[in-house]
Parts: sequence; C-alpha cells; structure tokens
Amino acid sequence: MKPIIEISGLEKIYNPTKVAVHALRGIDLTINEGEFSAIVGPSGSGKSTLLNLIGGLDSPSAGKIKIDGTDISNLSENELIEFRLRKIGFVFQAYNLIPVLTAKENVEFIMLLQNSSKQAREERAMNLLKAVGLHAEVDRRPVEMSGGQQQRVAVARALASKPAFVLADEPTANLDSASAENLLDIMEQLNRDEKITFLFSTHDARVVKRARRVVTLEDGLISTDISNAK
Amino acid sequence: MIPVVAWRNIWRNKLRSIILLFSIALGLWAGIFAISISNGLNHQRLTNIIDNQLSHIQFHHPEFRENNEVDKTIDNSESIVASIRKDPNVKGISNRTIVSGMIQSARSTKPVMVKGVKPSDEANVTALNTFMTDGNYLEDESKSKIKPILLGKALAEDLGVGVKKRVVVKFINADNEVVQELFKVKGIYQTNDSRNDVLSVYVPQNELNNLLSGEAISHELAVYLKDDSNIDAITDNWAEQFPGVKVESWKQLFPGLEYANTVSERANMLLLGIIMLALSFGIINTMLMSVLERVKEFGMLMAVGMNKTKVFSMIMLETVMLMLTALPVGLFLAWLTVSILSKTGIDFSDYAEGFNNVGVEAVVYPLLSYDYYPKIILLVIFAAIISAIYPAVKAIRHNPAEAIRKL
Repeated sequence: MKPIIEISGLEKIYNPTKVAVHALRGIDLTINEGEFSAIVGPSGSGKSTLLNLIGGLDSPSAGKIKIDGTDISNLSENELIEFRLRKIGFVFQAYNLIPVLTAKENVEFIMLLQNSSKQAREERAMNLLKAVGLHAEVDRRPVEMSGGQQQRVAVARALASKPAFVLADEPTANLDSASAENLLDIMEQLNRDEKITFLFSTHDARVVKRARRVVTLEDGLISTDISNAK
Repeated sequence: MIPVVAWRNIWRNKLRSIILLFSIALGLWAGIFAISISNGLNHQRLTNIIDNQLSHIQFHHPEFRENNEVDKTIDNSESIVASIRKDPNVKGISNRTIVSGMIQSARSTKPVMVKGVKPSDEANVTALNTFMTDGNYLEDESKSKIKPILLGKALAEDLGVGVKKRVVVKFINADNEVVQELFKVKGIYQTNDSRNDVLSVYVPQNELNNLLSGEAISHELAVYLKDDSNIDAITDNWAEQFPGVKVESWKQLFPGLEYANTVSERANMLLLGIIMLALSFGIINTMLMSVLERVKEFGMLMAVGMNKTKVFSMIMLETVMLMLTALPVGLFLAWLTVSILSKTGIDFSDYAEGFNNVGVEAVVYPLLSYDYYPKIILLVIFAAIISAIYPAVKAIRHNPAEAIRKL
C-alpha cells in the first residue's frame, strides 16, 4: 500500500516562550492509501492539533509530515494553501458550505480555484452530487437543505479537487442518527469503490465502529493504534 | 464565480445593504445637488456681470483703465466699431464715454461713474432697457431740453430722487476744468447687482462728449458675442487687427471672476470628497460587520485552498459593487433634481436683497455640467477601494484553523 500520510517525531508546542503547552509530544504515524481511519481521544489529547498539522493549517514545532511524498513541514503559507487545494479534501463538523451558493456551485467552487474548465466543473460536480445522493438538490442553497444533506454536499466538495485523502473533523457531530449513518454509508462506499482515503477525527462511536483503523491519542501521544480488517 | 459570490454576499443581509445603499445614494445626491446650486450661483453671477456690465470683450486706450483719465481715448473708434459690427460672431457693440464724477441731489452727493452710451447700441450689449423699474429708457434722439439721465434704483433712493427729478452731475473735462451740469432723471433701472446700480449712471454719449471735449470721443467699446466659446481666439485676433488699442476679454478684465470659478470648482470637489469620506466610515463599519460575521467562512475558504489574495479581492469587490450599485441611484436622483430645478429654479425671493448684493438673482437655477459625472464616478470608486481595504485586511488576518472553530 502506498503511504499517503507519513508523520515522524511530530511535536507541537504552543506559547514556547511563555507557559509552554505540549499539545503533541512526538507522534509517529503512517496512513496508507485507501484507509478508513479514525483518530479518537478525549478533549485536550491533541486530536485537533494533529488534524490541523496533517491538514497543513498549522506548522509543527518539530518533526516531519509528508503528504503524498511531499514534506509540508517547511512549505510557505502560500505553498500550503496551494497544497491544500490540490491534495487535501476537508469535511468540517459544521458543514461550512458557502451559504450564498447552491449545492452544485459549492462543489464547483473548489474546482474553480483550481482553474478547471466550466464543462469539467459542471460534469464532476453533478457526478459527485449524484454519488452522495443529492442529484435532485443540486440547485438548493445550504439553508434549504437538512444538516445531513449539507454534510453530503461537503463530502462532494471535499472530493471535487481529487485530493490525496479526505480529512473529516467530527463530520457526524451535528447530525441525527439516520443522517449520520447515511453519511457514513456514503463515505464507506466511496472508500470501497473509489479507494478514497478517509481520516476522521471523532468522538462519535458510530464512526469508530465503522473505522477499520482507530488511533487513540492521550496527552499528545498515541496510546493505541488498532486495526480491524473488515 | 467570485464576482457572483461577492454579489450574493452583498444581499445576505438585505436590510443592512439597502440602508447603506440608500445612504450612499442620498449622500451622493446631496453632494451633487449642493455642487449644482453652487455652480448655478456662480454661473448666474458670471453671466449677470457679463450680460449687464462687462460684455465679453472690451477695447480701451492702453492706459485708460489705470486711472480712467478723460484724455485716454480710443483712436478711430468709429472705424473699429464699423469693422467689428461686420464680424458674424458679434451680437452687439456699445461705444461708451466714461468719466468719474459726483452726482448731487437736494439730499446728498454720491460718487458715480458716468457712462455716455448710444441707447440702442447699449441695449444690444447690456440689455439695460429691460431693467427699467420706473420712467423710460434713453432715446437715441433726445427731445428734452434738459439732458436725460438713468439712475440705479439704489442710487436714486440714496439721493432721494425719482423720475423727472433733477440732479447735478460734476466731473472734470478734457481741459481739466470742473464741469457741472443739470440732468433730469428719465428712468430708474435695477439690475441683479446692486453694487453696480449704486455706481453707474447712464447719459446719452453725444451729450457727455459735448460736456467733456466737444468731440466724438470714446473710452470703451464693449462687445457682446453670439457665442463665447471661442472668446480667447477672437480676442487675440482683434488684438492683432487693432494694434493701437488694448483688447481684453472678461477673463483679462476681471481675472478674479475666472479665478473664483476655479476656486469654486475645487471647493465643490472638496465638498463631495468630504461627503464621500463621511460615507466611507459608514461603509467601513458595515463591511467590517459583514466580515466579522463571516470569520468562520473565510477560515473555511482559506482552509480549502482559496488564497489570501482572492479572499482580499472578494471583499474589495463586494464593497466596490455596493458602491457602484448606489452610484447610479444617486446620480439618477441628482440628475433628475438638477434637470427639473434647472428649468423651474429655486425661489429665494425672501432673501432677494442679500442675493442682489452679491450680484445674483433670487431665483437660483442649479447647474451641473456633464464634466462632473466622470469625476464623481472616479471619486466614488476611489472611496469604495479605500473603504474596503481595512475590512479586507481584517478578513485575511485570521488563521484558518482558529477561524473554522469560531462560533
């Protein structure tokens, strides 16, 4: 299996010159292509920090992060933005869609930032929305959709840029059971059929139950890393 | 799609945007309307001075205007008049004899400028005959035994005289002798400039010439053009054609008038600039509110790969779009108001005396030349760009990881 995320000796210290907070104390982790993994842990365990570092939203104090073969630890801010656009798909807890755009436009927006042609954008957006079961809702704005539907648009948007992997931060936290199960079904199917790599940060037992690998963080360190082949 | 997002973002909070839009439009309208009134006043003041006193171009002896000396006359004035009359640009020419003197009534004595004119020619240049409030205008061939004189209303009141009353005019003739002559008030005029009315008295030129030297002398030729757009070229041309006399346009005769116009134009733009500055604070406030409400969204946009330049541009675009939406509304309101009021005028009759003291009529006709519109549009775009910078900078300063987690 090709490694997509390679982390070695990762440390993150907040306020290093004042009261230093060691959020991560040396993480070594590899996520391979096609994995459906979850990072779990109590509040303050370093979950969000790890996710921010993997997503290129923050820079490490020490250690290295390689994404799809590129060391992102030393990229400039603009290079990181470009890297995120090309390599990482994000799904956020609160959906975070652009409220003034329709479902289709939200998905297209990422491809627009990648300078894709109009035809390519429209075609891929329609295909992705169909894949997440929203072909009938393409012209609806977020406010006209349920939470579950919005999160499915967010998944379609995350996949629009053909990323190396999808980083999903508490994707089911704001959803009712049925919507959460439905979303997880879709993600599982995409993972199985399209070999798309998903990495979750979650508290949700439903996500943990579905994940084929569960990495537990405690006090900035990996305490357990359990794989259960399904 | 970014312009589409920017445009739709404007309408996320419709009420707020509409209030801001109307405040910009009303600010623009108020600024433009104030400018048009100022322009109208200026234009009227200038037109009144040209139409009722100066005319467009004047001819003098090169030294006459220094001290108004009687012997500084225009040589060959009749041939110059005849030549100028043939020019197709000329509407009228008035040949004037001018002398400083004193006018005396039973009540008081006042300094005056006695202007000897040919009544029909003067009527073609200053339309003095249309300003008569009492009595009659001068006649080319007077039948009266006592010489007729026209007084301004303000002067007549100061002297305590009316039509058919007699006044004595004193001045020094070409031989440096004091001449004292009895005149009968034939008519009383009132122009829009009370300062002129109190100073200028009009008598037939031949009568004044007889008293001054007995010869057909001339101190001033005043020319009124049909179209003054080429006034500078015409003035230069005549100056070359008649080398012995000084030919000057109103701009050269009274440079202050031209200067006042320039100052007024700059003051108008400054006024609009101040209005736009005040509006800019409103725009900054509104855009800042809009940006702070969307911190999470900007965090998401930057997280998914929208670079800071694009986020910055989007905020700039939103502000410029908002301003450009308000711009046509403000311009249309201003154009409509100015178009209507430039025909009907704004009546300030209750303050007529004050207006006449500064040489304008009590009915003001707002005026806005089309030259102003591009300047206003540029000013609005400039104000929009300046107003957008701070909110846009604020939007891109956030760390995406923190911004996404904002409530």
